[in-house]
Amino acid sequence: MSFLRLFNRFVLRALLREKARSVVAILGVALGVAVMVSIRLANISVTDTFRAAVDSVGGNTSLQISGTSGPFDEQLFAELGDLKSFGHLSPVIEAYAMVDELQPSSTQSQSFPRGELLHVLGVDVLLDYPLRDYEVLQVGTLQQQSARQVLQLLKDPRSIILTEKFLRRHGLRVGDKIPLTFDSRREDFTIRGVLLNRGPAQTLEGNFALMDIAAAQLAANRLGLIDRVDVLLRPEFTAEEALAAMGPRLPSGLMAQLPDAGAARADTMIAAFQFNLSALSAVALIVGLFLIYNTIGMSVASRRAEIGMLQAIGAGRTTILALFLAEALLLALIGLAIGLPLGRMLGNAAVVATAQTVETFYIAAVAEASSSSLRLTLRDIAAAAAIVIPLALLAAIVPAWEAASVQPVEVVRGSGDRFSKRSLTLVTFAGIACLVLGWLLTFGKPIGGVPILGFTAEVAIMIGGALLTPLILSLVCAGVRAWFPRLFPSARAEIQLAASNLKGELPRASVSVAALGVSLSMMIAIAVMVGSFRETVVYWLDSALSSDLSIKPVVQTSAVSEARLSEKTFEVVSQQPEVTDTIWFGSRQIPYQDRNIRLSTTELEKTLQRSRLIFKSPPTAKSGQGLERNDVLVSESFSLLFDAPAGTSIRLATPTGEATFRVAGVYYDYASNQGTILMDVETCRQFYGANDPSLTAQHLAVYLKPEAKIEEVRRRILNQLGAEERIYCVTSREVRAEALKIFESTFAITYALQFIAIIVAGLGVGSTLLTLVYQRQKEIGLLSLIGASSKQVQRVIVLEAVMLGAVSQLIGIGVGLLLALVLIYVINVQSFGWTIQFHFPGSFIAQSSLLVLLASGLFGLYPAIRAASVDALRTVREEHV
Amino acid sequence: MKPPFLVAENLRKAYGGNALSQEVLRGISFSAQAGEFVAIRGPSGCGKSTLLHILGAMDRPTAGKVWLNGTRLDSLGLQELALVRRRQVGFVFQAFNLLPTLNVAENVSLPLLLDGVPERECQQRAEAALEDVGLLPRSKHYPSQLSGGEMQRAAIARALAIEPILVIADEPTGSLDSVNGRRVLELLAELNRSRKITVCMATHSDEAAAFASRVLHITDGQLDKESGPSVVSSAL
Repeated sequence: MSFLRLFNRFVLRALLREKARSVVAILGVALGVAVMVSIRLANISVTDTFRAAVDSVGGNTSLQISGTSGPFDEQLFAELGDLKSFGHLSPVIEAYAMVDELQPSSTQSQSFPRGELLHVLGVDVLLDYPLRDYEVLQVGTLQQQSARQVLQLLKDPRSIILTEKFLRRHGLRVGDKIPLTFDSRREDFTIRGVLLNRGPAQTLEGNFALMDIAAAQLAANRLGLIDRVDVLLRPEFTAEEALAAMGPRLPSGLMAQLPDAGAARADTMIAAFQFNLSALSAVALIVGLFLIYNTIGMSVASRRAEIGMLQAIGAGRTTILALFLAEALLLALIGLAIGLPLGRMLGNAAVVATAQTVETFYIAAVAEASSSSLRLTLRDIAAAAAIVIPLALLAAIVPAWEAASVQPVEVVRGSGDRFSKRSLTLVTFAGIACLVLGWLLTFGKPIGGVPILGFTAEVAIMIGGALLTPLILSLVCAGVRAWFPRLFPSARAEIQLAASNLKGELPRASVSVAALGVSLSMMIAIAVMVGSFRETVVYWLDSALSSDLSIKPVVQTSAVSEARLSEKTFEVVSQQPEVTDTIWFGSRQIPYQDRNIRLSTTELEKTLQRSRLIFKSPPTAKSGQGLERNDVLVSESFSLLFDAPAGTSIRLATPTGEATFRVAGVYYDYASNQGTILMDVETCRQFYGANDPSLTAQHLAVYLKPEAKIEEVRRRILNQLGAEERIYCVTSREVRAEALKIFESTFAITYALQFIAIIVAGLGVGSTLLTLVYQRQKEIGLLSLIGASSKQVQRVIVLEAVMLGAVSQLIGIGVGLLLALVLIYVINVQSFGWTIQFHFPGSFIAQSSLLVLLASGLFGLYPAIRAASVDALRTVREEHV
Repeated sequence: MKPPFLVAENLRKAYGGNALSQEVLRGISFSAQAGEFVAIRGPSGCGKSTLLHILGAMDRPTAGKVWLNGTRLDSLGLQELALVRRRQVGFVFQAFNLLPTLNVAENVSLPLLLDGVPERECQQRAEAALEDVGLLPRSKHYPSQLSGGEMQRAAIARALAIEPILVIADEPTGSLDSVNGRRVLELLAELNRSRKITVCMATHSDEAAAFASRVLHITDGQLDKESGPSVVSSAL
């Protein structure tokens, strides 16, 4: 009780008295918590909605039988007859169809129209009914339909059943026709029934369609193929038992697996992306916690006399330590209380941003969770508290210990508050040690595919930079004092005073400078990394986009889409007199080790002749006469993810069993980081058969005669294909522009996170200056008494703010460049398998430096006004009258 | 006849507003010639510091007039008052009021720096002032490295550096022991004698007042009586 009373009198009242500083600290923690929570919610939401989609489409499926190398011949299904003793078997086609834009968006790109994607499930309704929870209504009867009645509804190949949610959203009714595009073919389908909102109908916020399997094969251009067979085991079998028993009885080229195996592979792919986002979100939190350090540090510094007095009247060291730790705890708890709901609100924006990136690179369609479905669970709250509270106490321990070490005699003399040369040396060496540790950590390998040591290196470098702050600030102050008065003789007094003041306040000023410097360093590191990445991608695009026109199906919206071009497209293109050459490219997803990768096929010889690939390790033919039959090229991400440099061998599952391929070369591919194996058409045909989906083109590069008018050829191709063939037919320039647009949107969240971190750090500078002004009222008053004008006093404070900003930016640039090198050469390579060429963003650094100086000056204005209004007489006179 | 150097005419000063207003000076008038050493005495709260602040251009009276070397201070704006303080008035306070982040020489040259005096001249004048107070060897030390007496001598050097026509000293020995206090008073008296600098000093101490050529006694914001130094000296 006595501690609580002491806490109330000594801490609470001081916090209330110093409202501005308290509010800034709480706001800093709250923003940090909010950013961390929003990213956590977004990550969980994206994974959960994807998992939910997999689960709801999977229904009661206990096992899945799929081809070892993707879709397989439907004849093989007949050979599975004797597996029926295990349970129900249902063959499945899964595809995505694009719905024509029902409510066209004004912001939509002309060249890249995009509609909603529907997740289409093609099943044999009679076989499938036991596996999934369908509730189909045929409007008119409003009665639930039996499997046989549903089969009747779907007997026409242009029939489709859509969800109640989708129909309501688009104002459609049973009987209406809806234009859908599978691959590149647009056809009208008739809505025959409504799926009520349960089971698979819950997928992707209702963007789900049910078709008969034969109709789906036809629509998705998979005649004669099925994607997988879903199995509902009889109750007497467990999944593990059945897996073991089925394995040997499966025909060659098929495998059985648990239904979530695919989802687990997707989780692995997005884990690194999500880890990177979480790490970025932690920056704002770290800066927020710097503010706690700052606040407690300021509190201790400005109350040394009171602490000394408390000690003089008998308060023990433990009591003093506990008081300041309790202050930090209180700030952290209030910050948490504000940050948690704020994070829930920011969560919606984070979901949109992350879902878009995940769709672009990892999963063809991710439902954006509705705002109502984003919930802050007790687990989220506990997770945030478990991170924030210990870190807040850790942040406060140094100043709290300093408070506990205050000697009453020291306070009387006023001598214990300076940074001794020994402390400065010690802190500087600790900083250098951290930098060295960071450098050593960059040699570490990823752990579980995640660059944990790389991020630890980043943290060590940031701490190193922060610890070097006092030395740098001290040197800059000395330099400014020595040189700047000569450059700006009219402001000599203000410059010398500002520099002396900051040097005299080294311990306190260093904390704020370190906080802002670390935030700026992250911003600069991200900017350098993104800028370098952009330059690399631009160079890659410019080299790879050698064709005049680029053609792909409209449903090909993502790096992992499986849509293909029709024969008709090929015919129309080849009939154009201006066309001199075409190169096609096909691709599909295959499981490889614990991930999904892409198996891509192209006319390799022509591709190499046209220099469409940029090589990290150029192909070396064993015979010196071109590539061998089982030679493949792999993307850099594949090579790094699976440790497969040029010259090594890899084993791939094929319909006829495992085959060995030689990695003949490694090429750069910034379109996907899934890992791609690129083989020649003939190699693919030989190992995977003529019906393999990757032998159907997804992309066609068209080369025209030099005199050809590109626009005219494009118009003619589109006219001749008619409205039923929906393709993107775009110039290289448009592809480049679209690619860069996607690039910018992918990194938008990164900038947002950094912006928040800077705001938090800026608040720290403002708070520091306010405290310094508060503490130095007497000195400021004295300045005024010996003749300084209020303008001079204001200039001193603003100059101090600008100097704080300048040193922060200096540290930010130095540490930021080091962090960027780690991001580029360690973290990016380990997370995404992308090598980025370092590019120094000179103009960005110049602009940001100017901005930081201006912003710091602005943050210093209010403290400056406060300083100029200090009642000089009140602060110096010993008697009030 | 030469007009008096420092003139106060019916000075009034009130703090606070309306009903809570408290009148600290209630019509004080006096004058001093250049080179005089005037001590102002009185009990705590009698208004001696307030009178010093007004005489030293730190504050303006609520009513009344004040002239310093022919300049009427009560009608000057804040910036003009700042200029008077910067160029003509030196201050010595009980609590020394040195900036802890500047060394002794920098503290002494600070008013010159604020006035835009060139660097070399700042240094020379600071060194000269420190020489005068016997503190030149300690010029690179910081205030926290000085004794109380040394800090007060540094404060006096800062007051001297601007070559003031008036030095305002508010209880300059209040924080010092008797030996250091006496040395400071001797220094002020010496400067007053040798340079003809007018000194106005508020003090409680009989010993301090003994160094003045005139002693003004204030009670309840009014000039109670005036005495010469011999009266006090003989009483010591």
